Amino acid sequence: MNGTVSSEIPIVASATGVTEVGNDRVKLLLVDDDRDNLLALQAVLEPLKQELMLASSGLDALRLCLDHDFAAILLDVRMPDMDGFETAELIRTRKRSRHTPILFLTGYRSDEQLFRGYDLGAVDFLFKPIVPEILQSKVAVFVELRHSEQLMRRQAENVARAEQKFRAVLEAAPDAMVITDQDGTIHLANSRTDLLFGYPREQLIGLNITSLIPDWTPPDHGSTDLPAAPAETRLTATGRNSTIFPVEITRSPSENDDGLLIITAIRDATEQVQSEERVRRINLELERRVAERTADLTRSNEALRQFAWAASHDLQEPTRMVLTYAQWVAKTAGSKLDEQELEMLNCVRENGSRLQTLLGALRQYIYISESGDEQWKTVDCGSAVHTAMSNLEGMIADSGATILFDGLPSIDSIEILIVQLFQNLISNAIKYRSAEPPRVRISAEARDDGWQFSVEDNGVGIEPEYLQYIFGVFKRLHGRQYSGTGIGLAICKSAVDRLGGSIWVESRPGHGSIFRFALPENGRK
Amino acid sequence: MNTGTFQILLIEDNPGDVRLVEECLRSRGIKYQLTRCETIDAAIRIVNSYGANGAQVPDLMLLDYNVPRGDACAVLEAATNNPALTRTRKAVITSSIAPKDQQDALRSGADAFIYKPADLDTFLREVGESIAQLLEQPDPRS
Repeated sequence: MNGTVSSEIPIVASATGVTEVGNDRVKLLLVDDDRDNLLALQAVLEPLKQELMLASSGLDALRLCLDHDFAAILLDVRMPDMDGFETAELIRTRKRSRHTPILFLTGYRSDEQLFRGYDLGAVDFLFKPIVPEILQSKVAVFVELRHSEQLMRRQAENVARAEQKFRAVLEAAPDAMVITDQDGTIHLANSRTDLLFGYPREQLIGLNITSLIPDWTPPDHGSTDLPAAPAETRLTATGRNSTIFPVEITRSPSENDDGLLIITAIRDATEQVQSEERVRRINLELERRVAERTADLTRSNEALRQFAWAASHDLQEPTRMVLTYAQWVAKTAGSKLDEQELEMLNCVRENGSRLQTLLGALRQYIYISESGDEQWKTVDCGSAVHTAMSNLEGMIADSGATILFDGLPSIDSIEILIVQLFQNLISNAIKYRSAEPPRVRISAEARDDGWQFSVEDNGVGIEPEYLQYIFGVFKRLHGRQYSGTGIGLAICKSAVDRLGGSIWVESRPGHGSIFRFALPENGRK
Repeated sequence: MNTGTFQILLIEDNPGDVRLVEECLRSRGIKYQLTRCETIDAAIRIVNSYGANGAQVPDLMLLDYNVPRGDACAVLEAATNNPALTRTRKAVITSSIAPKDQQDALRSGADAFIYKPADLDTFLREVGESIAQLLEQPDPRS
């Protein structure tokens, strides 16, 4: 045959059957000028289930070698125009087929031929007549070889792709990423690292990470299989031109074939530190202003307290003088005064007396808000009511009041305040009595967080619109027919506040009032 | 027991109270000679001068706790520290009911703490009684 591919010869034999999973079919080139031989070879190699390509001349073979990679070439030595050796020589000159294994098929043994063949890179000689089993097994070796080669190439490609992917991830990361060994020697860094530290990449590789972050240490070992988010650490970094800036780093160990590698993500924390500093300054300023305001308030509170104290005390002396001397005048000159003059003198005495009562109540009010913590102890509320009643002995007797109480608890409190509370509430109930003889009922109920006391009377009651005023100082709702100082309920409020509780009133005009106060279990702070 | 004229040092800035104290003495028929001063400074000067200038040492020192310009306790301490005043009875007279004032006065050497009532008769009775007691109380060392 003459070197052209005739149409009757299928150049590509379609190999049928199932290929082995994971192995691509490899290509085998069969070259013989004798068509029968070619068909015979094809028949023998068909069971290998690889892709067989047939060429009927050296030229055809060369042409096919340009376009295909063959696992092996079976080459007939004796062919017209271009014999097998010539063909082999030309195949070897081509880059693509330089290393393709060539098996020569020859009709007779000759040492000269063998030397020439091996010299041209032949891997084997097969002598005609071909023994199918031998041919098959020899070719199978090359198929196997090619398969292994393919596998290795694929693996190498995978590794390269993985590395490429890894580098892409590294580059896409928003932070500077530095991969080091445990000693800190840099193996890999992304472009953000160049930007952050100002070193060209090639200078970074091989550098120790501690020249970037002096306090860098490898993370604690033993957690390599934990993908949990690693903790952030705030450190100081040094840039190329000795700039110093804060960074936040996370380190994660990664075990691979080369040993333990450490991936350090580095984020410039300058802005964060600045904003933290701003927040800190704002907070400080706020605290300073609050402290200033508090000091102002404390000062003015203290001034007010001192004023109230001084007023109640300094007014007391002149009041006493007015009272005493009005009495003295009445005593020594009373008989010389006419009725109108005596009335005027009485007016002085009555008002002096009233002023004295007010000052006394004011002192009490101040005293309550100043009572110290050392006075906390167990207080028997029943005996506190007894004390209050004996302080109000005259008032109770004069009004014919009935005071009923039962089952009052013992609580942790300040005794004098509890006495004041009951005393002022009882005296309030008696002062603002109706036409009936006053009746006061005192009771207590346990609550989740302490006790609620009730002081119920049958007095005149309070108009709803006045309810909000009654606990203020000097808020008297009634005229002179009632003898209140206007401080009694303010004292109650102050005492309850001091004990950490609350006080309120429920009332309907003509139906009496119920004063209630709640004291917490642990009012002591 | 002294039956003659009592020397009384009264430290009191309020003339109304001076008159009341004098009325207490007069109404009980007690003969007295009154030395009066109105400030703490003056009181301390007088107290320190006893024993040095030959002036008659008081039998009773009555000190208003709220006399202006200074701490009343300083007068009590000066009196306690002056050996010439060993026999002098020292009383604080006040309208203050604060327990702390009373404690401070007693700690500073006061023999009594006399409260000034607002009622005239009560004042004359109670303050008069206290003064009489202090004057007639025999000295434990005599």
